[in-house]
Amino acid sequence: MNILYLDSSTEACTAGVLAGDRVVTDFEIAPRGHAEKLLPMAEGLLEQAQIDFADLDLIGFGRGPGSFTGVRIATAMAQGIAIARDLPMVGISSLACLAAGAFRRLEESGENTRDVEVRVAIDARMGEIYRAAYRLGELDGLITVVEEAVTEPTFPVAQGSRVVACGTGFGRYPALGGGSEVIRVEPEALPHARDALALIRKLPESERIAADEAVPSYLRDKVAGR
Amino acid sequence: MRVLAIESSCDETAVALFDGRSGKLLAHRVHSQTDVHAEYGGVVPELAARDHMRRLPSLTRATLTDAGVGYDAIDAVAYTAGPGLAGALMTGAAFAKGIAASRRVPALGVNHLEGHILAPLLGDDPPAFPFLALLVSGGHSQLIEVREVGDYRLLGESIDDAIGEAFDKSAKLMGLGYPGGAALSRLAEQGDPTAVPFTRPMVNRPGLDLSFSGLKTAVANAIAAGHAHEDVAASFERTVIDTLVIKLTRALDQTGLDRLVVAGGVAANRPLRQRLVEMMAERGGAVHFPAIELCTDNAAMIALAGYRRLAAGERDALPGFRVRARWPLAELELPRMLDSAVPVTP
Repeated sequence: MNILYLDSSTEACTAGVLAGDRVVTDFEIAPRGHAEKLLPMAEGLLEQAQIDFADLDLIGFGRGPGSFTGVRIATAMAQGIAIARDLPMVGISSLACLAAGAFRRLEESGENTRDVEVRVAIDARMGEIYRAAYRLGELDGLITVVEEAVTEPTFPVAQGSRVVACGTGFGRYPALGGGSEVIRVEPEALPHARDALALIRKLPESERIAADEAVPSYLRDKVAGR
Repeated sequence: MRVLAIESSCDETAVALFDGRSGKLLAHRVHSQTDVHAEYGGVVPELAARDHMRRLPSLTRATLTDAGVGYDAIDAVAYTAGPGLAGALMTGAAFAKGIAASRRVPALGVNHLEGHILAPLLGDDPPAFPFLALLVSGGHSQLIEVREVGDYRLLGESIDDAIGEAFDKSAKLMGLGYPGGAALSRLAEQGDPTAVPFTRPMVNRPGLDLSFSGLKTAVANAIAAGHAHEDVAASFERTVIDTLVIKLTRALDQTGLDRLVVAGGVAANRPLRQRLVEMMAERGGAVHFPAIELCTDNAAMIALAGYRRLAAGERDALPGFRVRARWPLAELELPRMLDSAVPVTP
């Protein structure tokens, strides 16, 4: 199974290639350089993994929420590759990707992840955040405990005894990461392709979509005044 | 060389496939977003970008199906890189670059205005260079001296509203909805073009610049004064055309050119076409229009402009892409071959 993943939904530009069992990824903070960086990054990774676009089986894309333009750059580029190579696509939530990264870092530092709730918040500007919260389920799959939404900077009462607060929303609203149950705050965390590829590998085939259906989840839909 | 082209600079999503060797347009499709924006009374940039993304995959598939070819038939990809709405441009550009990269074919960002003025080259009666181009649309009103592909000199332009914009805004004042320029023109057919004595803007000033915002105000006043809408529409249209004829005559005299190309959405206006045909016949010159369907935004013109540059060896200078919301024609250069590029046989 060969997968290319593209994500430019946040300040980070990140891409990854899964070639058989080998994973290669790249990550760069480039708030305004997504258009220039993402494609060369992807091509570099394919070269590193010694495969070509023609060898791919699946295209993953960061479907947001995040910067509208950033989300569209990765999604549209992925759509172009998918239709020209007749490939299925799979969209990964930037919030789920961040949560997967937070769980990975917990494990890497030897912490128990079982009763942890990872709260993810991305600064959505205009006094709001994109938020969601997750726990780890069977086979390390993410279980959503707070659905994705754009809201005022608040979270419902936690469902775990320990909370990890992850994402730029906690940098913008530090009080949001307060509370006795919070064991770790990661206010500078950004989505990384390695976590997205790990999520894609766990997804069932039924999650695959055609390029026509590959639409971002903007969450904020009130974008025009009447 | 077969060029696939993607256009998404404003509120039309368009895809085309052009064959350079035969000079034939193999297929082209346009999806208009008018319905998306109508209730807002103007184009909403964010909604435009979102809708481009929804339409591009199916529109591309349909275009290739129409042409009866697969992706392996594409030798290069051209896309509109500006001017236009940044978010809308980004969507089409990223999509186009994805196709080009994955098929390992060259890509090139094309200037939308260059596409418009070269559009008549797709017709049965293509103009020879050099010529005077009148570019008239909802976003632009320019007089351009065209020496050859890539050699453009701006002679004059609207200092305020574009002509298409003046049509749409005047139509709105008459309750014709948005965009109502074409409806205004239909209404004008029933009116008396001499009923309202509008002043022809800027004709007594030297130079080739245009101005239409004052005329729009005069339309509002004429409606308020109780003139019948059809008479206001007919008088407005006549005034715009008279003004253009005066400026075009001046530009043709100044440059010594005897060929005129009229492009952009307003080039579909029949009274304008008729008057310019008469004007050029009197001068012993010729006027060239794109086919009606290629006056408004389309990807066929992007494919053609892209082909003229790609065939010369020009490529995107960057592996990624850049779009330009503002990109004046006068900044363009002759098709240039990148050092690393190998010219492709046409």
